[in-house]
Amino acid sequence: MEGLSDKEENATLDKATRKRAGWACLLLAIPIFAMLWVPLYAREEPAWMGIPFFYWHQTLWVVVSTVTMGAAYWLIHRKGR
Amino acid sequence: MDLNRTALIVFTFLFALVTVMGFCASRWKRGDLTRLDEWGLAGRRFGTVITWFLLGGDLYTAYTFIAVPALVFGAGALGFYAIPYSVVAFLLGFVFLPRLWAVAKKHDFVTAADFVKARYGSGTLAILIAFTGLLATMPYTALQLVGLQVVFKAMGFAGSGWIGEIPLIVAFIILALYTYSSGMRAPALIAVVKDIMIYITVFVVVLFIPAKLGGWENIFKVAEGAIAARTPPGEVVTSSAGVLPYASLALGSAFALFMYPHAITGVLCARSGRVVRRNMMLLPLFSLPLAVIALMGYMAYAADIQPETTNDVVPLLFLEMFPDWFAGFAFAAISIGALVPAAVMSIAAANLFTRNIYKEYIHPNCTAKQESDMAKLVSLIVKFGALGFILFLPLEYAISLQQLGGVWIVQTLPAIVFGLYTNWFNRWALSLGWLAGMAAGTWMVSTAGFKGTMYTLTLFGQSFAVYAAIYAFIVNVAVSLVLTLVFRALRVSNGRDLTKAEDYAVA
Repeated sequence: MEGLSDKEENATLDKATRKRAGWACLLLAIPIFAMLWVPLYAREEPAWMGIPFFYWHQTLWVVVSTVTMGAAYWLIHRKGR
Repeated sequence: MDLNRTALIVFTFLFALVTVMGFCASRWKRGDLTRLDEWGLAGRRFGTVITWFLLGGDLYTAYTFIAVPALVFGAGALGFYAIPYSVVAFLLGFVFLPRLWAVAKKHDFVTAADFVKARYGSGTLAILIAFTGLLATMPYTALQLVGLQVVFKAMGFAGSGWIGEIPLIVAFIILALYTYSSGMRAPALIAVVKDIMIYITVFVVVLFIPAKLGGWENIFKVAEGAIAARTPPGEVVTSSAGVLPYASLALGSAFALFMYPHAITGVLCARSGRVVRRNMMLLPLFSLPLAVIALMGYMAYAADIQPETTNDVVPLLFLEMFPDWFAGFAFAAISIGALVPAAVMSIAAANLFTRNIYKEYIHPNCTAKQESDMAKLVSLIVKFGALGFILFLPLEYAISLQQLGGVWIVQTLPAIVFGLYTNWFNRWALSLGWLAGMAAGTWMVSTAGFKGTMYTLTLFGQSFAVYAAIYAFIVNVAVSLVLTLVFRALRVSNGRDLTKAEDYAVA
């Protein structure tokens, strides 16, 4: 960032960091909501391989939560801007 | 005694292997074991992979693997709460645990109570946190023995009085000795074996059992009928009345998980805050085998298993479905699964007692060696206490106390987790909030005769059945908030905060 003073550069960085942290929070909140909002998935259909929706939906979110946490990690800890 | 020899031989071989590993662990990543953070936190130097194995082995306890399918067998859908519970716990831990790690590393904290003392300048609050941790850990440790007990019973050691308990006693003495000599290194090394064995077992379960029982469709069909016929009847999919209990049990248990001393101890063994965060991301992968194990509660119906108690569901299913040698392997997986959390829990309790009671009040000038010697001794006492608990008291006591322990440990959350972000709360307000939460939680559980942890609150003509830990937590936070405002108005000063904002940064 040519032409910006250190202070200004830090401020831009801070703003970007905060924005990324906001996205990271959202990525963490979605699986929490999906797993705790029980009426969303308290049903038998659609079943998968004979397994009621209730069970495979929650098990699927186990994997999805790992992916969203991975994305959140990348947003928080990636180098530079 | 009618022993299952094949299963017993496989079991004994694997158990012996793990015992040797436990004793050799003292030489692994060598450190000075006369220091508490070397014995009790393995020098805080585990990387992502070892921490993952350790925490997986530590948090997914043998009791979980027995009690969750038992609950599914007995009540149906409710037992599956363990899945959202574990995932939500990791999502929350992803946010705050790296901060806890960072500040603990900076100030050489070994326990959560160490942190609370430095953050709020309050010995009182610290001892309350330590006390709650000890109280919640003891029955939990005792219940790990149930995992061993049901396995020995399934192999034929049942019903012969004292003789039948000898394998349990021997197994626990061995565990106590190598924990004494190797500290946290022992469960960390053994956890690698445990986790691999659990994954293998679950893989085989998924591959063979549904096929043998006419597919998942048949398993759920048989279970649905059988579970509705139970008294009280269960349900395979949560009905609208079951929504709040299910969600609140998951959320409350998620609040509890990383407040438990054995969980915090495991986290502090990591090498960096980022290692902790990466682990929160990868630990849900242990909930996949847990989901399969939970569903074994339904497989048991399709396999027409008639267990004496619901805790026998899993071992009996193994015996019914697998050849003896693989049943022995699965039994070893469960019992080695009990050793890891039992060891970490006793180490965590020892760290708490030594740091926050012995060093604080009994022998403030103790040397590092005296401190670690005391911790080693306490770890022995905790384990033999747990053994006595299981051998001499009815099992219901341990189960009730463990359930109460979950309600209690959540009451340490405001001081610990809020404290990671702000020192705004007054130490006395938090102490009184803790007291209010403990009292409210205990009272609510007592209204259920200490048999369940759901409490029904009637408000505006509507009734809300919610996990008591959540209600108690709300009381706790409300009291802490209001009293902090009151103390501020009265100009009661906060304690001196020994930590600085930059100590919490996750590098």
